[in-house]
Amino acid sequence: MSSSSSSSLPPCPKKMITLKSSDGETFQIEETAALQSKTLENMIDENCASTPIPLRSINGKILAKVVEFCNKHAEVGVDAESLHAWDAEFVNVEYTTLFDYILAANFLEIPTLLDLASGVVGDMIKGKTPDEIRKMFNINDAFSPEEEEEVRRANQWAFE
Amino acid sequence: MPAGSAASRPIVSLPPISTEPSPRPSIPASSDRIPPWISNSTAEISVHGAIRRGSSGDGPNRPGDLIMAETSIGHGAIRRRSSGDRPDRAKRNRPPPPPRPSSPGDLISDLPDDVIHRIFSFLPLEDVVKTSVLSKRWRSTWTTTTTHLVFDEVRESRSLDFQPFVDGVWIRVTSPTVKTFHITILQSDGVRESRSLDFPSFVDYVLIRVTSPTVKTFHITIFQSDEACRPKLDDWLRKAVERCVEDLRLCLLDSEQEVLYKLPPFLYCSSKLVRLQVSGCCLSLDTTAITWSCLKVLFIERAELSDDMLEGIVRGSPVLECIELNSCRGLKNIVIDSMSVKELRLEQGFELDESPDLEKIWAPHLQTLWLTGYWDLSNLEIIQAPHLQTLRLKGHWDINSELRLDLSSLVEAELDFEEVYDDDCCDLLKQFLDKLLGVSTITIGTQCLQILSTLEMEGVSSQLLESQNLIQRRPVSLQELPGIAYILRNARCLEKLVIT
Repeated sequence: MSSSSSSSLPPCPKKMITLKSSDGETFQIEETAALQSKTLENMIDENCASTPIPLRSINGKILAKVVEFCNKHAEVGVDAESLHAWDAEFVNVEYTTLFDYILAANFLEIPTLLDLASGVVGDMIKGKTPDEIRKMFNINDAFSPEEEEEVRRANQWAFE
Repeated sequence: MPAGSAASRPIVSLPPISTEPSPRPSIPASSDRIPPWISNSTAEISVHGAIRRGSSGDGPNRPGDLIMAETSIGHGAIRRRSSGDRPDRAKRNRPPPPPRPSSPGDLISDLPDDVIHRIFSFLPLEDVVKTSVLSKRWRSTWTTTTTHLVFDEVRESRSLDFQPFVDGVWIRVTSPTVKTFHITILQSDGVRESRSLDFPSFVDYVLIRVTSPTVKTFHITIFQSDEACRPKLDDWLRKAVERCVEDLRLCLLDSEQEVLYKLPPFLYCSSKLVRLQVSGCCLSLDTTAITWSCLKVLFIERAELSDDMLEGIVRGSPVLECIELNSCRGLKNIVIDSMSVKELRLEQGFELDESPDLEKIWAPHLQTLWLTGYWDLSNLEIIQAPHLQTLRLKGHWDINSELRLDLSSLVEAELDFEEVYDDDCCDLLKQFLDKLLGVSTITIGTQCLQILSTLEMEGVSSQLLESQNLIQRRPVSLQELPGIAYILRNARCLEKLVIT
C-alpha cells in the first residue's frame, strides 16, 4: 500500500530546509534556493540541515526578506532586466534595514545580496561631504574640533 | 502614593546608569564582535529620527532618499514589535533615559571591517579617503585593511589633481591585503605640466609598497603610451604575475602605435591566471610553450595573432572556456579542437585590411558562436561546429554573405543588423532565416524587425519562420508593428512571442 501511494506522489518532491530566526520564527526554504548561501550550503553538505537551523543573529523580519530574496534569485526564467528592477525595489528600504541585510548576507555568505545592499550604501555615501555622511548615519563618535582640523589638514590632498 | 513608589525605585536603578559614561549609553557594553546584531534593535528608533532630519535638511540627491525617510517609521514600528520590545515594557517604571541627547544609532560604525571594505569597493577612492574625517573609528579604517585600490584618472578628474591624490593615497596605505589594483591613466609620458610624479615611477612606487603576497586583479588602462613606457610595462606585469594575479587586464588604447607592445615571455607561463584581457598588444610565439593551466576566459583585442599562436593557446590552456577575439589580425584558419572551449566570440573591426583574412573556423566542440561587427561572410569558407547550440549574428553584413554552417544542433539564435542600408538586406535576412528554419528560439533585433515591417507593408509573404519562440528585446515602436504582424502571420509553429 505504501509503495502504491508513494508512486502516485508528484515525481520530485522539493527538498526543503527550515531556518529559525532569533525570535523563534521558522521559515521553509527550498534547498536549491538556500544553496545561494555558502554558510547554508556547507551545512547542507555536512548533513546538518535536517533539523531547523537556528540563526541567532537574524530576526524574523529580516530572515523573511532574505528567504524572499533567495527564492526570487533561484527562480528560473527571470530575465536580467526584471530581476534588476526587483532588486532595486528590494533594497528601497530604510538604511537600518539595509544594514540588517548586509549583516545577514555577510553571515550567511550570500554574495549577491551582500553586493546589492553594500552598493546601495555606497551610493548613499558617494559625493557627500563628511558632515552630510555623519548626519545621515548618525555617526557621533566625533573628533574634537582641533582633532578634526588636524585630520583634515593631514588629508588636505583629498579634500581639494 | 504614586509619588512614593516612584521615589523608591530610582534609588536602586539610577546608579548603574549614571556611572556609565559610555559613548553609546543604551547599548550594553558588549564586545565589538556582537553589537551590530544586538544593537540594531535597541538603537533603531532614534536612528530613524536622524535619517528624517538628515534627509530633509540636506537636500538629497536622489529621490530614493526621501522614500527611505518616509518609510522608515513604518518599518521601525513593525520591527520594534517583533524584537526586543518586552524588556523595555518591563522596565517602564525606570527613570527616563540619561539626559544625554545624542542618539546611539551609529550603526554604520559598528559594521565589521570587511563589510565596510565591501562598501568602499563601490566608491571612488576619493570618497573612501574622505571617510577618514568622519570619526575616530574611521580615521585609519581605509588605510589599514583596504582591499580595492582603483585609481581612475578619467573618473576622478572632475576637480581633483589626480596625481597628488594618487600619491597621497599611496603614502598612507599600509594594508597588507590589497586584492585589487586598477589604474587608468590618460597619458603615460609623465611630462604634463605641474605634475610632481610621472606615472611610470608612480606605478613602480605603488608596486613596491603593496606588500600583499597576492593581488587578485591587476588592471592597467593607458589611453596614450609611448615606447619608453614598455620596459616599465614588462616590469609591472612581472610584479603582478609574481603576486599570483588571477584577473589580468592590460589595455593600451592608443591606436596610432605602429609597432604594438609585445607581451613579455614570462606571461605565457603564468599558471595562476583565470582571466586574461589584452588590448593593443602583440602575442608572439618565439617563447616557451604556453601554460595557462587555470585560464578560463581569454579576451584579445586589436592584437596581432597567428593560427599557430591560437592553437598554442588552446593547447596550453586545458580549462579554457571562452575565447573572445575583437579586431584581431593574422588569423586565417581558426582551429579549436579542445573539449573545454565552449564559446567563441569573434568581432570584426571596420578596418579593411582586417576582414579578408579569416577563411575557416573548425571547432567541433563549440556550443556558442558570436559573429559581430563588420563581416563579409563570402570569404568565410567553412564553419564547422556541429555541436553549436547558440549562434549570435549581429553586424554589418556584406551583401554577398552566405552562412555556410552546420546548424543541425542549434536551439537558439540571435539575429540583427547594425544598420539597414537597402533592399539587399531583405534578401540577406531571408537567407539567414531560411538557414535558421529549425531553430526553436530566435531573438530578433530592432533592425531585423524593421526589415520585416517593410516586407509586411509590401505584402511579401513567406513561410520562413518555424520557430516556437520569438523574442524581441526592445520596445516595439509604431513603425515596427507591421513587423510583428508579419511574424504572427508567417510563423506557423509559434508558441511564444516575447516582447520586452
